[in-house]
Amino acid sequence: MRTIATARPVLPLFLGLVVASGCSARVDRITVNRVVQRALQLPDVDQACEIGASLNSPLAALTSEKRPAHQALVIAEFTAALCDESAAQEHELTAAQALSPALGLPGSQRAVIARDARLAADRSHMRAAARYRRALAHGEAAFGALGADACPRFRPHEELPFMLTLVAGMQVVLHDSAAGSPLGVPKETILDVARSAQCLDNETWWYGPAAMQAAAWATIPGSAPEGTDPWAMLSEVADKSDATGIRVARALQVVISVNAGRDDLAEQAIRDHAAARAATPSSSEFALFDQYALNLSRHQSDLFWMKEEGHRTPVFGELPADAAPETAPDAGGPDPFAEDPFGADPFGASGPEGAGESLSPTSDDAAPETP
Amino acid sequence: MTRTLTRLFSALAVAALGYAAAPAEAAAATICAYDPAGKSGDFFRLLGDYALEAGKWGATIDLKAYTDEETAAKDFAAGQCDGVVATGVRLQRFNNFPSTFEAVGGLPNYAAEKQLIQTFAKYPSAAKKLTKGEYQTVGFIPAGAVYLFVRDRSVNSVEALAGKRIATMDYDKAAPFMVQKMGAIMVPADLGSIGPKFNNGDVDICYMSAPGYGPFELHRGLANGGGIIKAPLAQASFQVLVRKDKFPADFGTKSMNYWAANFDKALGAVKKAESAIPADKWIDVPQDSLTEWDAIYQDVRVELRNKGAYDGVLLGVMKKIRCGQDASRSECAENRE
Repeated sequence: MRTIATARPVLPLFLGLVVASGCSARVDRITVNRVVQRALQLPDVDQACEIGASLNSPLAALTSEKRPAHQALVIAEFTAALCDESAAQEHELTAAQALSPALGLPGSQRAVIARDARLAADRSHMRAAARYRRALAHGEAAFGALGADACPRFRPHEELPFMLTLVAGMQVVLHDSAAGSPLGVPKETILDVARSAQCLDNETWWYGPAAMQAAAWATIPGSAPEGTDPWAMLSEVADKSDATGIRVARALQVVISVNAGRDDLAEQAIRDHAAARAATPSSSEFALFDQYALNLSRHQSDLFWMKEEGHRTPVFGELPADAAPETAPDAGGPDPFAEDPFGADPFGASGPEGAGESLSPTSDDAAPETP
Repeated sequence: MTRTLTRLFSALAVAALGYAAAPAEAAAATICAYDPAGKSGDFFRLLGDYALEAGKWGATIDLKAYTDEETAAKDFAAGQCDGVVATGVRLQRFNNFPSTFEAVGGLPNYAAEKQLIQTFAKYPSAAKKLTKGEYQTVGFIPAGAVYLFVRDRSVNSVEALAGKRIATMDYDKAAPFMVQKMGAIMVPADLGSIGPKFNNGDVDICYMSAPGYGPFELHRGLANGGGIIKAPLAQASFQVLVRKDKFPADFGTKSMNYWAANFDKALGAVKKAESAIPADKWIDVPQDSLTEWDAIYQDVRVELRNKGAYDGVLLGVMKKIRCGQDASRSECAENRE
């Protein structure tokens, strides 16, 4: 219901544009230049996902079945998948919370709650994977198969759908794997993404293409070009992306580090991400992507917090390890509390029975009266 | 009087609450779990289910993902984790009985592998052999049959291997010996280099289980007339090895039963990977050629047993399983294993 309500103001306008345009190429251009351009300026991932989910069917229905508006559909399917990604994250947090020693649940109860949450997460991951796979398929229909030797020739408005096709190629593998590979998406798809990422300029796309290459090479042993250390490369491009105001490369570093069990790297990347946000505001042009990057990093941070403390991240950039209580420094000198600083009870009765009584209750006083 | 009753009631309430709470559980045990794909890998996912189930047995397991197997094994050896999941060959330094599970030609098919895992779970005597000092192996997870990948599909017999370069995992004690026995040339490799060496033509042959085919893009190395010899070299496995004093007393039994019961589920990912390999990439091996391979495998097993790398008792059990499946095998009339 929420989806329909949110999409209501957009749908009539958009459908009107689509009907007026009448051809898939125009639909692609209108989608990218008008709808997406505005959505990108708003740091609201939930709204983007709801619009994507709502526009999907109308877009498919109102353009020719033989010549669908592939690029517009890349965007619609991609943003729709964000809804499922967000749902999967929530279920993962529920599972992590159940397993946290901070909650102290008995073993059997913990297992049942966590298992149920994981099954729910599987369903959301599978739906996300299905949507990313459709986004990837539309992208490959528009630009050719990923991993091809030659790069497609882009018009200016086509680079964004191509970039999203690459991200969809990464995400479909991650979500299908997270769901237990129900769709059987080949893991090597991410290597095709890495090959095609060279078709985009890194500076224009906030080092996202290089980050995807490094992420793929770090994930599959031996896949990096000779002499390339993918982890060093990932760190380097994440550093560069920090100042762009669109920290997708940094978020990718967090996600890939956690996946490889390199929690120390991930924690530092989370701190760096927070520091970058404090130092450089989000790009006004691509605020949505910076917010998406924050969501990705913050989710991993939330998982760390859930595991240790049973709750989400209180302040992004702080980690449970940072919050460990430190031993108070010794002030030195004699014990300042050796003598009762108040002397007599300052709140007690002024009469002789109250004078000189300690602030500490007696054991009898401590026991509450039963009614 | 009222206060006295209140205190008594409070004391009883505290006692009752204590009774109602779950029995005290051991502190969380950390298992360093290797999966080449990390947390998003199929095997790590299986371990997630296992850890949840173990909670019902009174064991709290915290899984730590590793994409580098040797680091996982080293961290376990250094006491940074209470258990480790890695391939049998990587864990042979802790106990050669469970690593013999991966003996060359020991388990020719998945039915034999399943039977052996069920046998481990059934007999307490197996649990004793799976324990060495403080270490106990408490689970076997099928990682897939290991096949020879050849760049030239005419290299499909033992004789044809002579002089060929084989990418060999140099930490495996059995592999160099096997390569030597075949008359081939060993080229040291690890998981990170095996794919590039094969695909670039630096070696003629590599060995791998099907889940590695896609991620390592081995189709590139097979592109010019190569193929996969359909005769399992061995059964790769992920094994769960723990420090037994860090887990409840009956953990080993329950864990072995769990993995025996979940064999088919674990094998699902392997079979999916095998079926994803195009049919024309497989090289069928005629029966007489299979017999020839078996003879080589047996020689290697016996010699490695004599060198102390393989456990003779387990080789004997594996032989019984093979002969139980097919009594006509020539080895069944012999007494070498």
